Amino acid sequence: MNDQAIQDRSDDGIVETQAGPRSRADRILPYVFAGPAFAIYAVLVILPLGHTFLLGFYDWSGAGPMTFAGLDNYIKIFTDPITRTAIANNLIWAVLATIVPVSMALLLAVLLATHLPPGVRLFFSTVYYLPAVLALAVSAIIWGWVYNPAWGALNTFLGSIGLSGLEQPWLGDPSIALYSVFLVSSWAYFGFCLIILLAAIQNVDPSLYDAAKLDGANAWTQFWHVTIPGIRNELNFVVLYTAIEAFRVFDLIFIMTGGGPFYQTEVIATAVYREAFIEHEVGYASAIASLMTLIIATLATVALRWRERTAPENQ
Amino acid sequence: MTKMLNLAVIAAIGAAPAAALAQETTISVWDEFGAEPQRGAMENIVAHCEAQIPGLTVDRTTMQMEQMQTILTTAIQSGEGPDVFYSSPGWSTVGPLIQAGAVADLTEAYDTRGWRDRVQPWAVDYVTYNGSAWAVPYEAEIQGIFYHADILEEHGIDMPETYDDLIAAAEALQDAGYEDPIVTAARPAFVLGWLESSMLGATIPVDTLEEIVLNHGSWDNPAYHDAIARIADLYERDLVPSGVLAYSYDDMMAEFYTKSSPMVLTGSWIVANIDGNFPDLNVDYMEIPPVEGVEQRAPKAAGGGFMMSANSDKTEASLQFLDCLATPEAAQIWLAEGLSRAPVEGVDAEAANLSPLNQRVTEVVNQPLSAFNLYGVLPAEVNDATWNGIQAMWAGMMTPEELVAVKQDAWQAAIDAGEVIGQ
Amino acid sequence: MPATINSFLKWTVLILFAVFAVGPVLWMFVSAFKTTPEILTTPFRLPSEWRWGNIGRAWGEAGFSRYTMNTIIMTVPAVVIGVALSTLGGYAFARFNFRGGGVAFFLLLYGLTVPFQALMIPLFYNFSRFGLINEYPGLIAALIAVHLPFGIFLMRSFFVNAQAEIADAARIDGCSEYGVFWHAMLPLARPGVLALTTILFTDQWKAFLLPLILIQDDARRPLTLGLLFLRDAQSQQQYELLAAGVIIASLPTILLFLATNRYFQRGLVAGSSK
Repeated sequence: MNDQAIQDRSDDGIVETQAGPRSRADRILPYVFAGPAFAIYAVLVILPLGHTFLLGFYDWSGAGPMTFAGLDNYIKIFTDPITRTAIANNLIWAVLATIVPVSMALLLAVLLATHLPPGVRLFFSTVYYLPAVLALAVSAIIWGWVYNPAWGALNTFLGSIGLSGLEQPWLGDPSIALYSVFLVSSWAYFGFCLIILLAAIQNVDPSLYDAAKLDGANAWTQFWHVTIPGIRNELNFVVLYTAIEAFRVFDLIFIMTGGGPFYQTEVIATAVYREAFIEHEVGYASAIASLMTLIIATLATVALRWRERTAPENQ
Repeated sequence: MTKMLNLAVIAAIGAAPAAALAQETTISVWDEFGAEPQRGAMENIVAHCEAQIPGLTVDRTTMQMEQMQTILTTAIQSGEGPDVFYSSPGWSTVGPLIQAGAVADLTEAYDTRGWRDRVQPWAVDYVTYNGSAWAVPYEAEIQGIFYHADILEEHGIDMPETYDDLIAAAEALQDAGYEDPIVTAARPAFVLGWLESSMLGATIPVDTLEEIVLNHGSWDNPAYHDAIARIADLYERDLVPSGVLAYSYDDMMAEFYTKSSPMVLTGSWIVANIDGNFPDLNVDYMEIPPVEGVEQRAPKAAGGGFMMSANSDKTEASLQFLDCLATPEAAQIWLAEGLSRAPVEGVDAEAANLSPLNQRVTEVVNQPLSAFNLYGVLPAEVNDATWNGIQAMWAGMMTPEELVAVKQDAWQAAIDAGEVIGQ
Repeated sequence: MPATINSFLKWTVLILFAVFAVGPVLWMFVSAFKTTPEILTTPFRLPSEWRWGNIGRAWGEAGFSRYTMNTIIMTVPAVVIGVALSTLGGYAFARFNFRGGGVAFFLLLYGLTVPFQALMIPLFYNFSRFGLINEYPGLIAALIAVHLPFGIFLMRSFFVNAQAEIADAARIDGCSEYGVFWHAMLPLARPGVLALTTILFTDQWKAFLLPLILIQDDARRPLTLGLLFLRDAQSQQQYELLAAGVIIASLPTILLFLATNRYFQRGLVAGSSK
């Protein structure tokens, strides 16, 4: 479980030097094996990605002539208040996404890692993962019902326990709509984080806890000084994963609020979709998409570098 | 002289029945009639036309209108698109298509095939932009307030005659326990367009509106400020749901159909659904009643129409199909089975056995006077800015004055870019 | 008695989160057996009468049989081909140092971070240019492509963990590299193949944005889009059918997940050690 993609692959212990004289058939084997996958990937991911970057420098409505626009589209990103709102919302979302579902998962993983019958543990981890099995489109519809202002479960529940003062148009109030949708995202992701973190906690060497106990560490200290360092790789992974997913968020917003009211729940992906396919500002949409790709790639690079640098020697 | 000749040709061709096609031809048609009763009615119309035009086969694909907008231009330009498609002929929708050269100009067909005699003139006007006709309109619709007549009666409320009557009626209903006397919705944003169009019809004299829309006047005028102020006022008085910004079209209709709300702002397309699925409801229709000095009228529109792709290589077959659609026989099927109104002359509404509500709506549709349906006449950018602006105004993020300024800016930009209709 | 309090707290937290996780889903599932007026007026009550026929109505009149068939047509080839390509590719990157392999691997690595939104614009316009809109082969190829980075990484990590010694032993017995893969490595990586299959199956089943853009014909929509458009179909007020559609759309992945729970969880954990 300790190989890192970014690491030199010779660490994996499988290198061609161990092979003796190889036949020609054996030499072309990697190309035969990896070739088809890479070809599809190149045609349907790498090329379109390059195409998007290119389109970002043009003014194009999706039909008719394209005119070179230089950096105009990129300049527009920072002057267009709706796109700025979308970027700001996405940053808020990304920060929350690295905190909320991960903390929920961490708490539950620590609780589940305590002495429990394995069946009970499996039951809870299964239940927590269940939302992740649903399509986000399905989750969006379910929570659209929960949040319905007139007959939704949340307002009905609040009303029935005498808290009708707390009833809200959850998706209609610009100041809370984004957070209402974010809660659904956390709901959908915390189970995934939990399964990763639970496995990691269970892999922490038990003798480390014993040693800590001998030093008189309480549960809290053990958590900070044994558990957290022991699962740092996995923690790093889930944080990076939720952050990257945060910049891809589309389905939930698109279905639950459509970016509204008054564009206040737009995120980058919905802005790209709207500009490209509704407003027919294809060049501008491409520029926003390109910027988003650069943000995520930078984020991932920084995170992986950081993880590499801080990884313990014995990795 | 040429004109005389043309008239003779028109008379000759216009009277001629549809001819058989020179060879077997399959045309592809995209429409949005995927749900009953319109799905079956359109199937029958197609069968009728295929029987009338030997050699014609129609291959239908149904999709949501918004979806179609997304792919239509590209599909047509790549040669993969339909020969005939059904779309809103409103300028917000077809403006970009026409400007991209994707829609065939039907003016000549109108002139030579006798369509001008068969399609109602107001509807022809509606699909005519800058001198050319672009569609065979197939959905004559009006917008306004649909209300539960029994609820109003139960509370002793007469049908409001003036705008102030309407507000008084709504407040009386609120006192009687209806939290949301008038329900509307914010998703999709064009639902608010029905409110805006109806409000403008009730508060702005028709010549002032024409001056703005057709002669490119300014929205920054007292009449429009007043209309927007009244829209703001509806929310401030809590006459629309306090959570309206979270309401989808479905939420709005649910509240109306369950009688939680006595009045809803929508359009005549709901009539088929009421007749089909809620026959026990006692629903009636009214325009938003006018303020003093404005004549009562409903925003009328051709909500949809059949158009031909500019790239179709089956022009004759497509035109013959459009020709068949524009006959009273086809329109009769559309009314009797689809419960929908094509603005085609010679349809016998009595023979269609309509419900009282459907009769009333058909009557209003046939009235000559009409307000502007803004979706139909303004460019999409202007409408988007306004309808999102109404949401912002209700959310307290924009003042009515700012909203008017936003609309006027978008309007001016569209005028400068040549994206508007009229002079 | 702090231990008891701790234990009480622990169970409270665990159970509350369990309710949070499945409560909304169960609520929607129960609503599927009510009538629309019941859903709107008594959202928390059990159905006055369980209308099991609603599932059949969604399956029939609301078109969910067609949507389900479309989702299967879309999912099955995308999973089968995707697993095959990922297995072969993952093996190649795990076992060989080959010219160009490093660059290809690096490009795939970044593929994990590429948001689909950055591909959809050219994909849409090029697909429409070549008449691939509304065509399943185009959609399936795109679905496979965007999941390849994940699949290849997952399979690579399984192959790396499959002991190299066994492969060497097989080669000593006179196997070609192909034989090593087929007879020694592939059987060892079977859990990986199963995990990838289940994960890819649920992922492709859930696909939304790609079909949203590439499939416009109502008759070819998958379940996710069918649900969305049923919700937005302006003429209908049939909430129970929407809820029944939610059951139809989500039950297959829920059942698959429950049946393959262990493989599934193991696959997720293996995938995280990238």
